[in-house]
Amino acid sequence: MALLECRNVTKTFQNVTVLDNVSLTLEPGRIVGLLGRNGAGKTTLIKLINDLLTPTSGEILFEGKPIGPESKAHISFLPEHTYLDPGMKVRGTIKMFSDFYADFNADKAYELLLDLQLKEDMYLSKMSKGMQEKLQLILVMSRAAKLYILDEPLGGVDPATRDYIMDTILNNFCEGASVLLSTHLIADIERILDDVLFIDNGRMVLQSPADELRAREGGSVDQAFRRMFKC
Amino acid sequence: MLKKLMKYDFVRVEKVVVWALLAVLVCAAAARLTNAIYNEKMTMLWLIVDKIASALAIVVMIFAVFLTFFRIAASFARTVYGKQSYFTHTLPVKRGAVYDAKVLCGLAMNLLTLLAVGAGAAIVFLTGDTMALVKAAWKDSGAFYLLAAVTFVLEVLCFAVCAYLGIVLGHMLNTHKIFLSVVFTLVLWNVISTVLIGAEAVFYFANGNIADFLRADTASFAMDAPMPQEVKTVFVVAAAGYALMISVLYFIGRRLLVKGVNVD
Repeated sequence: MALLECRNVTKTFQNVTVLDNVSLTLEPGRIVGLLGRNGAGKTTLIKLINDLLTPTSGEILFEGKPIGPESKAHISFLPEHTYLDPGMKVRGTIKMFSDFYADFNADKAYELLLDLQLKEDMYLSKMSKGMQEKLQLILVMSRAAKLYILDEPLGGVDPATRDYIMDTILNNFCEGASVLLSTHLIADIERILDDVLFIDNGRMVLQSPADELRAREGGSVDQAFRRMFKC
Repeated sequence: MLKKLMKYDFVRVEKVVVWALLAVLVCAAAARLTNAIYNEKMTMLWLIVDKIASALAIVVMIFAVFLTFFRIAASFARTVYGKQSYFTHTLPVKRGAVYDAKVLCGLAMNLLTLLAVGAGAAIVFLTGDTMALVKAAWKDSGAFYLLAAVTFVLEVLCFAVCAYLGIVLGHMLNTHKIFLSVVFTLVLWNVISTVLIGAEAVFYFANGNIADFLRADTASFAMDAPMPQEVKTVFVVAAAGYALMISVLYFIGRRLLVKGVNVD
């Protein structure tokens, strides 16, 4: 059974079709890149999968069941912006994740915090945006989820931080789990991808294993993307 | 999970509101103290200080009620439709439970604020003379004043539930969501007020004694006079109406939220 399946998902806002009849299948144990230009529909698709938007038509299934509390217990989502209450302390966010997610490993979160030299009693409002995003990444990757969905985790950060983020993802995602990673910075994640999804103008234009795409196009995923979208 | 959701909702609202409630009690105590000093010294200076302290206590009480309401509404909008909704809606809980927790927490916080304001008012105003008047009034019409207080509390809670539904309706559209939330809240509140006034009017025409009472010379009305049964019944109708409206609005808001959200 597929881990995640989107069947003919369409989303319109005020008669503007943002996603058009998108279908995709994610198998367990794969790292999948959701690639597309800015405004292609990546975030909309991710928001639909995470129940933050309601599809205009079509359905989204996780392990064969519609998205709901059971699926959310197994999906660990990192949005592209900070989403925690800035009035909380770091320790409070860890307690909150422990309270709500049975698969959350607080010890692992504290270990990862040590690397960042973040103090537990620090308020989020006193932290920089970058530090808050790293904290969120730690919280999300400290779950033993079946599917990690990371929306633009590399957006707007310096190359050193990108490396930190990629290392954190690769070293901490649960064995056998899948990762859906959205970005337009293809070169930075190309090396870790098993599958790629190309999305453009709200349509899924390509779904392929990364190696097959490289062999077919005779170059990297990044080059294939540039050729396809004439960048 | 409902308990956990409520705990975090309560903490989020309480950490601001608690300071306002403390301010209510401190200002009330200060007003009482200045009144006691004035009664002892009887000087113009202490009269002015006493009046200022009482006025300040009243302003802080009104401020606390509004702050609680706005804090609850803002917290609801922020965590259900704002950036923090990304956490709320990805929690492994039913969306109905999210709504239940927020409404229950909001109603509890409103109730807590009203209790604190009531306690503050008692501290400021229940001096020797007024205490005797209240005791006399309570003896003759205690049940009526209790009913009136319950009706007032239900009215405030009904407005809070209007705001929840107003926010849900405002965010079902794609533009001007905050503005539309306010508009929907006010429209809902006016519709409810009109419906309740209509219900009272029906009762008014069906019961001649109330008409007689309303036409009577209200100048002779005394706080410690026993209340006519008909007036009590008007409050019962209002209280029942508000309770019914709270239930109806709550279920409509819950149903709409459970159907799905579209967060920015």
